[in-house]
Amino acid sequence: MLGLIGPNGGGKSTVLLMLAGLVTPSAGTVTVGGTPAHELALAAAGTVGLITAEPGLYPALTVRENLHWFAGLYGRAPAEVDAALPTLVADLELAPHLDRRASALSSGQRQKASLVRALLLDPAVLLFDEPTANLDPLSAHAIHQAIRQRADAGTTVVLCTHDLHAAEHVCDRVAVMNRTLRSIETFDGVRSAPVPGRLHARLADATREQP
Amino acid sequence: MILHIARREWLEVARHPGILAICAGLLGLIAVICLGALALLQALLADPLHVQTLTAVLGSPESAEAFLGGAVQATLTAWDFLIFSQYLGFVGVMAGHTLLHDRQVGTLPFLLLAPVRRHTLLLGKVLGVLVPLTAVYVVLCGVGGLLTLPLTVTAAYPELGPRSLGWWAALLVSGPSWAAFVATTCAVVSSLARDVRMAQQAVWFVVFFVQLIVAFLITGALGSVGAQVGAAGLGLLATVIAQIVGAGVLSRDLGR
Repeated sequence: MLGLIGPNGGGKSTVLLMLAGLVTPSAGTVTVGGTPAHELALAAAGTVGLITAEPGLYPALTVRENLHWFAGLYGRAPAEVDAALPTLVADLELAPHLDRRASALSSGQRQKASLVRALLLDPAVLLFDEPTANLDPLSAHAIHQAIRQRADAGTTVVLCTHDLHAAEHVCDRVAVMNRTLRSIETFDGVRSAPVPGRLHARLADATREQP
Repeated sequence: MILHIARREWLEVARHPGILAICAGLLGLIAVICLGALALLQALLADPLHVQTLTAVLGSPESAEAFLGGAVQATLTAWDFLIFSQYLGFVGVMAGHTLLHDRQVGTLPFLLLAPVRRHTLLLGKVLGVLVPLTAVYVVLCGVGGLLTLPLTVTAAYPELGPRSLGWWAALLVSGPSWAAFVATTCAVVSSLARDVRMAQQAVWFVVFFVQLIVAFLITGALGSVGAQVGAAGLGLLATVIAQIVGAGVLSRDLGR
């Protein structure tokens, strides 16, 4: 599980969208599992799951309808989705909200629904772009826990965040970016006792030094 | 997959019935005004006192008859023109918001990440717009047209109403085929726009010219089935071209 941190405009989200194949690099190539990222959608659908700061749900549809519809784009039948839902929503406390319209949910609930949408496809790679922006600490914690569980289960996870605390506690490695890669900090095995202020200092360095 | 994409648009329309109610309201209002005008003209013709007064004003019975006949013809022509132009306008406005709506609610990245070809996406969006609006248009305009049949004043102008097969061909075939072109073009416009105001202005630009060309093309040859089939063919050809060009314009790249 890799964290991406850096100042605003440092290119974190662009890297993430390039990995998802939604932004074409101006130079070079991006491949995911050997497939060019921009061909992923058609060549290896479902390989990458994306969660953005904006949950991206149709507000007039219920959470269940949203999940059915998006899964349907990948050829999943509604019954298949309904069968998978109880396990996926259990830890996220989303079950009571499945039949409510997305517009009636809180930001945290919508973000959890967005996470469930990505997990439904059981992707090999999960990309998170500021998934806890605008969320209260409890919702953010629930999302971070779910992310960590997927990483522990073997999913490759890239988390783009401004939350240094979360990056230190959830990620195995954290890349510090400011237009280019500035440094990589490793936390594997020491997540429970990160060095205080280490990422903050690296981020400050990267922000000061303009490439 | 095309139907799957269209079905979500239909669900959204079902949740916001006001979208169709506004369209139905305008087409209904046009029908009421035109039917009212035709009923008034019929009443004028049926009343010898009114015909006498009109004859005195216009100078001869022939002039009075020509005046009233002209008024009936003008009412029917205006009604037909308004039916097609407003239908195309509503289709354009609704299609001009489809992909922009996805961008605004944040669903566009997830749509582009899915294994959906651009042709499929565009066709699904177009169908999603066309089906509910066309249903409203066909029902309201069909019923409105049928209500003109008991009005004997309309019998002198069969080509302008449901007495003619050409009129039905225009309503059921030519209109929808050109609406498909408008929907395709405006859906592509909606994918390029970053802002509702820009999308609406671009849609208005497209719809203004298409309305003029199409409404004249359709209403100019209402009596002829052959002409309507030709107009419908042109509409379908324009739709296919717009579909091919439009799918090329749609980009999977969010940065563009």
